This record gives sequence, C-alpha cells and structure tokens, in this order.
Amino acid sequence: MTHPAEDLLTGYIDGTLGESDRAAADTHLAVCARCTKDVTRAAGARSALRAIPEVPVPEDVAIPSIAEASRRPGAPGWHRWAGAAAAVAAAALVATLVLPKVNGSSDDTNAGAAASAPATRVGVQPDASQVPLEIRTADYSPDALTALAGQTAARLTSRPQGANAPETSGTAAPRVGTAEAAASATACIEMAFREVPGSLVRLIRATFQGAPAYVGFYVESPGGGQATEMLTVRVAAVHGCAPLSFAGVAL
Amino acid sequence: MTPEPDGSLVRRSLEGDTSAFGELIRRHQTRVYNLCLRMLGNPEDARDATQDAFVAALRKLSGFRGDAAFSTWLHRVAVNVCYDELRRKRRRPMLHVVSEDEDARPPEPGPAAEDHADAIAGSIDAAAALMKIPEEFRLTLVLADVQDLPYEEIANILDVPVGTVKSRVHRGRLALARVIAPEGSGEPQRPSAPSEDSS
Repeated sequence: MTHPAEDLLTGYIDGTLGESDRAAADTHLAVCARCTKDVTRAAGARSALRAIPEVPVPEDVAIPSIAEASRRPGAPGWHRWAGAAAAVAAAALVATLVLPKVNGSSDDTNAGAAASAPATRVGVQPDASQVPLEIRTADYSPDALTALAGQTAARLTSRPQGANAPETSGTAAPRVGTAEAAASATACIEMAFREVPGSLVRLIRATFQGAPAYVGFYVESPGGGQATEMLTVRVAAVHGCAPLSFAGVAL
Repeated sequence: MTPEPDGSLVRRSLEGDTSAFGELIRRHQTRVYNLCLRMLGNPEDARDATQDAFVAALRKLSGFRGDAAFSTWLHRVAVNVCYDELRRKRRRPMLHVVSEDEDARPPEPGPAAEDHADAIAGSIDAAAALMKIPEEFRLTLVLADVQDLPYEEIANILDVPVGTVKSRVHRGRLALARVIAPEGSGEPQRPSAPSEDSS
C-alpha cells in the first residue's frame, strides 16, 4: 500500500488541502489503520501546541540593544535640546497627563499625601549621569505624580513644603538601584520620549497605574517663548519602554 | 493612523535613529522572546537570548536587504542565537565523574525514568514535551503550531523548501505525541532525528 506523503498529511490535519487531495487522503485513511493513527496523534499534538500560551516579555529585555544603538555613530544625542516644539509634539503623541501649575503650597502637597507614594526625602542631583535610581513600591496615579512633581519642583526651587508632604514625613529612604540600573532606566525613558529636551534631575522606578514604570523628572531650559523653566515628568513602561505619561509644571 | 512599515523603521535605524530601532523591538519582542522560550525551555535563558538576538540584529542591520520581511529576517537571527545557546549548553562540562556505564549510554538519552511515569500519567504538558524532541523538530513546531507562522515564511526562516517544512511538522507532531502519550506499553519511543526529506 502506498501511504500519503508526510507533507500531504500535514495539510490534511491543518485543513488546507484542496478538494481532490483531501478526497484521496480520506479514501486512503478509510483503509489504513497506521495512517489513521498517525493523523489522530499528530492532530492531538497540534492541538496541544496551539494551546501553549504566549508569555509576556520580561522587563528590560530591550535595554542592551537600545543602549548599544545609542552609542552607535550617527545616533542622535539623547540629551540635546530640541526646543519647546519637540516637547509639545511628544506630549501630543503620548497619553498625556496635564499637570496643573504647582506652586509648592500645602494644598498641593496634601494631594500627594492622599496618593500611594511612600514618604521619603530624596536628594536631587543636577548631573544626569549621576542621578540615582530610586526603587519604590508605590503605585502612582496621575494625582500622585502631580503631587510628586510639585514636591520635586519645590525642592528644586528651595521652596518650603507643607507639613503633610509625604516625602518629608520621615519614613525610610527608598532603595537605590545600581548605576547600571539607573543607566538602563534613563535609556528607557529617553527612548520613550525621544527628541524631548531636558536634563534629568530625578529618577524613580515604581509602578504607574499598575504597570512597572520608570519616572524621570527633567528640567527644561526656557525657550520657544517660555518665560520660565519647566519641570517635565516622563513615565515610561519598564516593559518595552513605551511612553505612559508626560506632563510639565512650571518652576 | 497606519503604522510605519518595518522597512521604513529599518532605514531610519540605519541612519542612527535609536527610537526607530526601539519601535522595531517593541513590535517584535514578544514573538522573539516566546520563540526563545520554547526553544530553550526556561525564562532566564530566553530573556538572555532575546537580548542577544536584538543586539545581533542591530549589528547586522546593514546586511538586511529587504528581500524578505524584517520579521522573517529577525526570526532567522533569533533562531541562530538559540542554536548557539543550545550548542553552548551541550559543550558545558559535566560536573560529576562519568562512570563506564554512563559513558556507554547514548549521547542523547530519551526521557528519564521519572519522565516516563509523567508521560504515562499524561502530566507532561506540550511545552515541556517540546524540550524532549530533537531541536530541528522543536523549532519547526514552535514556528508552525505555537507561533502559527505560514509555512512559506517558515521555509524562508529555515532556508528549506516548503515541503520540507511540512514534512518536519508531521514528524515533529508524531514525536511530540509519543512524548505526551506513549503508544502501546506506555514506553515513549525515542523520536528519530530528522533527516532530509521531501522538498
């Protein structure tokens, strides 16, 4: 007895055979126990394989190649100042969180106290290459980020904060990531918000609305008609470095 | 809005636009990671291989001619990274002294005794069973049945005729079935290594 070719049986199981090939296979299978058994077993394996679920990509999987890409000749400088228009364009592209102007009043910081950010005091360093990565367990909401941006802005401008400010209530300082983790986080944020000008002043890893996220605070110099410096808050997904939120407050 | 084609992102990447390469990664990382996971069998190795695949892709990007889809080319890069990792693992030195009896065993033994019991009990899932069949079958099944790629694309990735892909799929499915549900006495049959077949 001549048995159907293996590729034909694959087509039979997949249901992709033409009518005449399928009829020929059916005729053979009606009289061949061996092929019938093979087809049954192969079809069962196919079903089992198709039930294997797709697994989400782990965090940071893209970072090494992005870091290498940024070092290649011709790569645009990630820290270059591209003007206010770029910030506006970025803000339009991402899911935008528009923060109100924050003046450091106790009302603003009370808003933060209601959010889930942990209470810590964090130093801010102006040099982007040395900004530490704060690792926090907080799950930030847009409101919590509003408060955090206000507190950071207040610190940058040395304005006093309200007594209930969550960052000054005396709990333990956040865990600080390695320099490598900080560099990866910075690369991730700057990949998400390409061409947006600014100098990194603070870096946090936490979650944003449930998603693992890097939060970067950037100071932007005056330009494009702006009268004052801006503090922008950029939130990027740890998982894939997609932009999650973008906002700015006046300093 | 129509998403920017992969080819355009490749061109921009070659011009030094880091964000364009980032977009390529975002688009393809899930498939690449899952391919590596099913080929290598554990998340840590899969993550490392995925990272290596994208770094390799970046370095080889100027060699991408565009005569195949970028996803096909990227799969080929990832497959090579997985094979490199599998070869590296095979070269790892044994950490125990090999007795004469052990030395006499075939180099690639079939499922261990406890695995037989699992298979008989039907408790080996398909993902675990994949790790017990020859790599060439495993790769073809991952691309065809797990990732549901068209046979023509798989043929391009593997650089073999479509008929060969279909033949490997059939043999691979039977090999997998023997691991999941052994025939007859319950003893899983050792799948035969793939040989070159129809074209």
